[in-house]
Amino acid sequence: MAHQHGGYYSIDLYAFHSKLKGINPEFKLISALVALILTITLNNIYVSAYAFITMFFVSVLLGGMDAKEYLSMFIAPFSFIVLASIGIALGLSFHESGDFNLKLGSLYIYTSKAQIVMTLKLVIKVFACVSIMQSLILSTMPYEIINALRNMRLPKLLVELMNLIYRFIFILIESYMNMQNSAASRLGYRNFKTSMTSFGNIASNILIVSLKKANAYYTAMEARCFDGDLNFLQDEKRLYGKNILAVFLFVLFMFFIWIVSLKLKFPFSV
Amino acid sequence: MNDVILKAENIHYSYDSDKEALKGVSLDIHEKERLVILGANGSGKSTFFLNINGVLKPESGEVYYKDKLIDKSSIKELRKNVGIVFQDADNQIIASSVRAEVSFGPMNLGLSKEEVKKRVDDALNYMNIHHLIDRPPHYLSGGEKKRVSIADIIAMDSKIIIFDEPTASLDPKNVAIFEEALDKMSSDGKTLVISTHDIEFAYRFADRIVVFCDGNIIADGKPVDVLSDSKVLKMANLKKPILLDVFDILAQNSIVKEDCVPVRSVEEFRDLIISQAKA
Repeated sequence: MAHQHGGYYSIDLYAFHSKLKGINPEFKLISALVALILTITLNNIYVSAYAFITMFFVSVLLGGMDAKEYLSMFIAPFSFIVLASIGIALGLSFHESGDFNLKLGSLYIYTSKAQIVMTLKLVIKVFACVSIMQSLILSTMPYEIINALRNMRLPKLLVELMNLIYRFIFILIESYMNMQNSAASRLGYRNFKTSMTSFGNIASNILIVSLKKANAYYTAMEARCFDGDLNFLQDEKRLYGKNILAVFLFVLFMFFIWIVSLKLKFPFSV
Repeated sequence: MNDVILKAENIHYSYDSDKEALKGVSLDIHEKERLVILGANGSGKSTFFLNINGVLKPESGEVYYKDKLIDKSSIKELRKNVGIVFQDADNQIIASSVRAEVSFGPMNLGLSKEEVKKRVDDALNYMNIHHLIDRPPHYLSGGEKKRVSIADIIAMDSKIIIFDEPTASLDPKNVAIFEEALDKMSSDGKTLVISTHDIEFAYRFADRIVVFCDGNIIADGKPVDVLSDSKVLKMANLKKPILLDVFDILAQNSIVKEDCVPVRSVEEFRDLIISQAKA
């Protein structure tokens, strides 16, 4: 499956090809939120691992996504997690402290077993949460998510802004790609100095383009009787009992794992 | 000729104070006619379209729809009945799926959900793009985007459909598809107003041609008459259609009879030559 389109990387193509896109989007959104909240509040390493594995199963086996591509989706969040966990796992001190330490001049970089365990638990929890959000995004078109939020009574202003921003992302990316190509074809990226100049010019041009485009859009919207409310027809997707049952079992099993791990005192479960 | 459906009277409009874009344009548009508007870039065609659709308000001058003067209260009625297909589909497509996009106009008209759904389906079938209904617009080709932008207006069921340079960015195959759609709309009783730089298309398609030049209308009449007027052609920087040119040369040299009607298409031309050769 290709994720290159017109020269830019686009994540919503996965949702477009997902086998799960026929499921009611409101249901998907609510299920994802429930799973997310439970993973955070239960704060249990086994629950997190269970959520992560299940989401892999959902996206790859049920959604029909390539396993390699699914895992490559985690590269971007992974780099953030690594940077953040360094701050949590390591500490700086002028005195010798912690279980392990490294002396750098008069400074000590130290860590402890408890800190490492805490960091690992956090990393797994973050991965679980990211994977829950990703399985939502990888199976639901963004405009469906936006519409689901509208149906869940999110303020109209936010919903309309989300709609327009989502559409404009692609318009601006396309304008940007065109300008970049045209700059490249005139040796605009020949060396560092010209690259900086080209980048600056394109950035300022993008601002003008976005204003002009917004104006053209407004004209076109007015020509179609726009009177202040952005209303679109949405496809209605049925909610099936088997979907509800599947999510119910998933949540039930989450609690089950949580209780069992606490009762049997699994390592790291508290 | 049919009744006048839209009447523009002495319309003046300027975007800034020092240059007038429209300098007193008057035009009658008749029901069900195929009107082609020619004119150089910046001659005021697009400005005129926005004025007769009600997006821009003329500084002076009146617009009548079916003999009814358009004022603030009836502007919605005007926008409903005069649809514009903009030159750049990317400046028109606002929603994030084809279904939502085509439904935008009908939803604004305040129709019921069932009616909107029906209109969206019908409009997409009309343009033969029903299979694209769930597609986001950024995964459409240029020709598909154009067809979506036409379906936008068809779904609103406008009586008059304005096309602003529709063939400007289309390849020959998509132009052919577009012309087929135009013929279909025309036979369904729509009034079509098309601005274009494609003089061959204008000659072949139009019932009537209007030429804009520098904010004024400098010619209005039958295609053959307008496109034979060398003064008009020179003023508006237009070129005579090749078919008409060839026909005139043949007529001047008495190869075809001078009194017969100039041909509008290659097929007509072939028939004429064959019948004359036999005679």
